[in-house]
Amino acid sequence: MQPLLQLAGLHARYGQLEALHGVDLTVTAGEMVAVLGPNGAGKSTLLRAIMGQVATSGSVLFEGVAVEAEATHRRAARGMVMVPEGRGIFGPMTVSENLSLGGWTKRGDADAQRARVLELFPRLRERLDQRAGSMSGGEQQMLAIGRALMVQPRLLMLDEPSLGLAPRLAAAILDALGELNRGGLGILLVEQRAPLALRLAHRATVLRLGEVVAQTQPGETITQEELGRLYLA
Amino acid sequence: MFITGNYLLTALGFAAIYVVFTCGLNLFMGHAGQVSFGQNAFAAIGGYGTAILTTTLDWPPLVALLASALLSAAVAAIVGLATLRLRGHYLAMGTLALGLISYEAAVQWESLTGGYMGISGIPPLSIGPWAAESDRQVFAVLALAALLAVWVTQRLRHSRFGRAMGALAGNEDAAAALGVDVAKVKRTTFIAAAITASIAGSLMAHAVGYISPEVFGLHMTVLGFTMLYVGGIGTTFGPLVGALVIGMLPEVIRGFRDVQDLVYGAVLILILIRAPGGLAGVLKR
Repeated sequence: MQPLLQLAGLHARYGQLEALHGVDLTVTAGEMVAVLGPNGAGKSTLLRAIMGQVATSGSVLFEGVAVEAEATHRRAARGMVMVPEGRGIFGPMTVSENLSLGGWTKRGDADAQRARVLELFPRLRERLDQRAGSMSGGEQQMLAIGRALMVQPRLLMLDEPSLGLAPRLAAAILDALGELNRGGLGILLVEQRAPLALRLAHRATVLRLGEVVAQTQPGETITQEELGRLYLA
Repeated sequence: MFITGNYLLTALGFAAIYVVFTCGLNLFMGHAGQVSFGQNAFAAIGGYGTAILTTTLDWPPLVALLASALLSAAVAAIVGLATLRLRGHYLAMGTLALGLISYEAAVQWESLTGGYMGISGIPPLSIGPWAAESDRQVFAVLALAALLAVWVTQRLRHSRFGRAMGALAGNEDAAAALGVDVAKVKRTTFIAAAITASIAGSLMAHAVGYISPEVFGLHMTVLGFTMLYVGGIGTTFGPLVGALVIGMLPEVIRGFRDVQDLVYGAVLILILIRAPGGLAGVLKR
């Protein structure tokens, strides 16, 4: 089966500083892949590189099509959608307006998708006219994911969705992602809370200092001790 | 109050011109979250374009206004290719350079602009056989233009495109990640702001009948900024409220004579302290 996302020899840099050194990674349709690693490993940079938000070299194939020369918004239109670290919601706008923006590229069928998002996150239905900036962290994360779903992604990439959330809420958010994944959505999940991510992911990739240091196969897992050795070695 | 005084009509007319100018600034800065210190450049293109086309080539004023607006749009499209890659303070400095260059061009290009002497004898705005010649007629046209500018920018703000502008203001990277063509939205908004500035410049030329480089200097941008922030940046009626208040304030405090400037500054500071989001929000409450 053709991979949904295929990275080959991906390098990324900020000016003169190279942050990723030849990353290879694949995500197949319906798969959830966790990207783990300590602070500064390049996890966020990896997602930004996939979306074309940092300078890169190497190959980025989405559904077999090379997208490394495409602008971010064109990649999003193809179905590569990212929920950034810190959520990236538009605070002065209402929940409803944020969701509408998610459906900006999809003129015809936004209402049906909105209904599905509100079913997945009922708390957003209660807050539709509330300014997004006034919501709690957990609600903002739901909104960020809901807004991303409005784009009707084929690959959903999330950068630390549990950041700053209470453990119970973080687990609830990740369970929702698990539900989406079981529905067939490909997910690339960057997470600091490795146990949470490993509970749901089919495979895991571990980064350290911009390089892949370990990758699991379906059915394999990584223990906390192994992760500790990989992070600190 | 029934307006009869010609001086008052003239002052209100200038305020109306600045409503048009500030509406464009509000689009680019208030709704799209960008910065431009160069709007006076497009007002200059509008003003000088109108002046030259009507006095030298005898073009009908409305046609000259539209042609000047098109020229401003073209210049904005070209200039935007370079400057709109910048963000934040760098974008501010890039557009400031544009404003400064336009002033120097108006001064130095004497064969076209008349240099410091400017261009006089600009005919009144007319549509077909009808011309706005009396003070009341001029004011009526300018007031209509101001209301139209507010209406158009309001419609734009609440459109699908307006949502994209809002996303741009919120977070450019997040907007792009949702499929918004950030560069295109930025460029389109910049062009729209340039067109409104150009129209304001053209209206200024017709209202006064004379223009010179000083009319479109940096003070025009400073005044526009003041009106926008006092009125309420990012609000619907901010440009209208701000232009009226700041436009009429010098007339209200004229009695303070030697300390007029001091009083002007004090009033501005007081307004910004008591209404940091602008007067339009206060009036709405």
